[in-house]
Amino acid sequence: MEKETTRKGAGPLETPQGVVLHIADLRVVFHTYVGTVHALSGIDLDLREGKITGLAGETGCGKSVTAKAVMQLLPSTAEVLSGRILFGGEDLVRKTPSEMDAIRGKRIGMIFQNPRAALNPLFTVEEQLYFLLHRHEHLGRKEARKRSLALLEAVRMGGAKKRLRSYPFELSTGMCQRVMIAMGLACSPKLFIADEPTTGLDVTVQAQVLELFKHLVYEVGSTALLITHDLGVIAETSDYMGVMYGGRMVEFGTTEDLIEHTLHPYTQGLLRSSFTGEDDDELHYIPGVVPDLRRPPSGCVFEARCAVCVEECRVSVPDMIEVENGHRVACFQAGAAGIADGGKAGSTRGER
Amino acid sequence: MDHEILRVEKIRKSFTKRVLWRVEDVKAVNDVSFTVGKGTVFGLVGESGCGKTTTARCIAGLERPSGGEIIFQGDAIGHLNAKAFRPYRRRLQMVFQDPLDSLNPRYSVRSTIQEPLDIHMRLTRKDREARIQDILKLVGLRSELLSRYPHQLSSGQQQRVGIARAIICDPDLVLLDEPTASLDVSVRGRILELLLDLQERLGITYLLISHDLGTVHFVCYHTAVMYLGFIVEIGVTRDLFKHPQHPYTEALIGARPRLRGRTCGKERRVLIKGEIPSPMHLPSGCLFHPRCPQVMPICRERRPELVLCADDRMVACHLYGTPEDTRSVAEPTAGGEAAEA
Repeated sequence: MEKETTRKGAGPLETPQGVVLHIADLRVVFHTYVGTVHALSGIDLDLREGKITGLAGETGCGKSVTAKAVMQLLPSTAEVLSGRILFGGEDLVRKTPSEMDAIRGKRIGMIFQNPRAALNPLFTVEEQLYFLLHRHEHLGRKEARKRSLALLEAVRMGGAKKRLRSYPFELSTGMCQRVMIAMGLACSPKLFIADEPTTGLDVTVQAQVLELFKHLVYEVGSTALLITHDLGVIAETSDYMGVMYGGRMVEFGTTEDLIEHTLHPYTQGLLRSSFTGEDDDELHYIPGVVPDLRRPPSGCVFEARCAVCVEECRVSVPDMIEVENGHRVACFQAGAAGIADGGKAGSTRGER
Repeated sequence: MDHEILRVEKIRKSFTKRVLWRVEDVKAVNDVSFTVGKGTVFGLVGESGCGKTTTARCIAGLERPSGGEIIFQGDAIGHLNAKAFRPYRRRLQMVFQDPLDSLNPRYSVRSTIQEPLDIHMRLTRKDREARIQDILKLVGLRSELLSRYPHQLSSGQQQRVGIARAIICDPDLVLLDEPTASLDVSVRGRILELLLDLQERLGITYLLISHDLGTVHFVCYHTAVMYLGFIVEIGVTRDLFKHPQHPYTEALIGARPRLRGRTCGKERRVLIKGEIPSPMHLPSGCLFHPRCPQVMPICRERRPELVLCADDRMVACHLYGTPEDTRSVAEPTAGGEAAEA
């Protein structure tokens, strides 16, 4: 569990106490033929050791770009303008591709959205696990098979022995995702990134996969970053959560705080529009559209869609300020947001 | 029932699949029956592969059922050929799951929504133009989008075009196949609002197919839960969600991720084991028995039938009556009530 210390580097490269991954002021742009897209404009994120941190937001808000930047898997059109990604005392932004190869899969595991597309269709499950175990753990065929079998059993795959010889097309999507989780956790990585792990899975299978994910992350003693647009998934699974919008982090805190004492109007909008059939829902949505990140607004990114924006929001960008114990929000109107919103969010704040 | 618009009577659909020399039957839909009342929203939920889309495609005339009948406004339409089906197409439309895939990439928005008009209603150029402008206003699209192509639109706009195409000929019944599945939460809300608004204004009846229980709970008055091609439970949506009777419905509803409630302890979640069995080799007896937490010996042998177990609720489960019980009188009534919350 604690094989790797976070103290290899010294001084500025050291991550804060109890933090596995420290992202500071990360800015990423994409150079496309229709202009420069400002995908990430200054992201700060700390992943606490042994915890699951969820990252929520709508399509195009920069969740996946953040994950890909950590893995250094950004496409060639991307450019990291500034920022540091500190992991294990090293800055991942400055790593060479071959240095990253030694980290990916070994110290940082990742699972992707579409498990079927992420597995190689030409190789059996056993071979794919062998590549990984051979490369990072230097296991021979025999030991690799033993380990693979144990891994598949750990992800509760029925008939693990038979499944080792299966090709991805012979498996259901849920099983493919289990194989992905097994591969991600094969080398007991310090950090585990799951990018939309259950999107496209049926609810009953989703519940199983999430339960498994949670169980394994805690068991291996790993730290996880869970990216999803489904707030329900985050609420069920993660300890901390961050909400992103337009390439910025707008709110961060413990999952409970964010859901019960929401401060940012965007988070409130998201929460209210994701009705889950729990009680007598009303139809809510956030008016307007996501900003064009080729020309990011000069003020707050959410200003154009915000119900409580003031003159200040148009002019300057709000910083993330800590409201209370670890709950940070980037909004000038953080206090007022609930009042204008009325309803539940407002009343919870009244009591506090 | 004078209010009914669509009655599906024991439709079956099987596809043949060839595996080398073996020919196997995939039973996608088995003896599915339900009734949709005029002006209501009827929901069909279930996990992928349970036959909900196939059922809709049968109703829309895109597949021909292997057995059973579909009665639409008093006419049997289940086994018509393409030409005989044509007059019904105007009154029975479908909105598809993936908005981009269901639009012709080489048709501009104008061509897409004009095509059904040209086929079904011969209008003068002036009337046609007026109709197109009206519909655009109804679905909330700006008229400068008419010359755009699908890839130039956002996914919300694409779905609006899909809806415009479906409603431009004034249909009576619209089949919505996962209309919001690929949309962001905030866009999803707006599309649902649009659909409900259109229903109110134009008096359309919807058959909504979805695996998103939140949407179904919000929109549908009656809901049928499907599993492996069979309807396992059918009833008034709100009751169904509050007091699910069939263990599968219970598991499905319990598996939804919730925003609040994790803190309330571990009571939630009867996690069901395993995944859906292959429709090529259906389990014996009750289809759900390999995964069912309350399985009994009889479940392995006999397939339960849909029986009326409470007011307006039918369940196919041995927990609620044996096959000896007379098969209930009729399908639950999907009365004339509007479905809005």
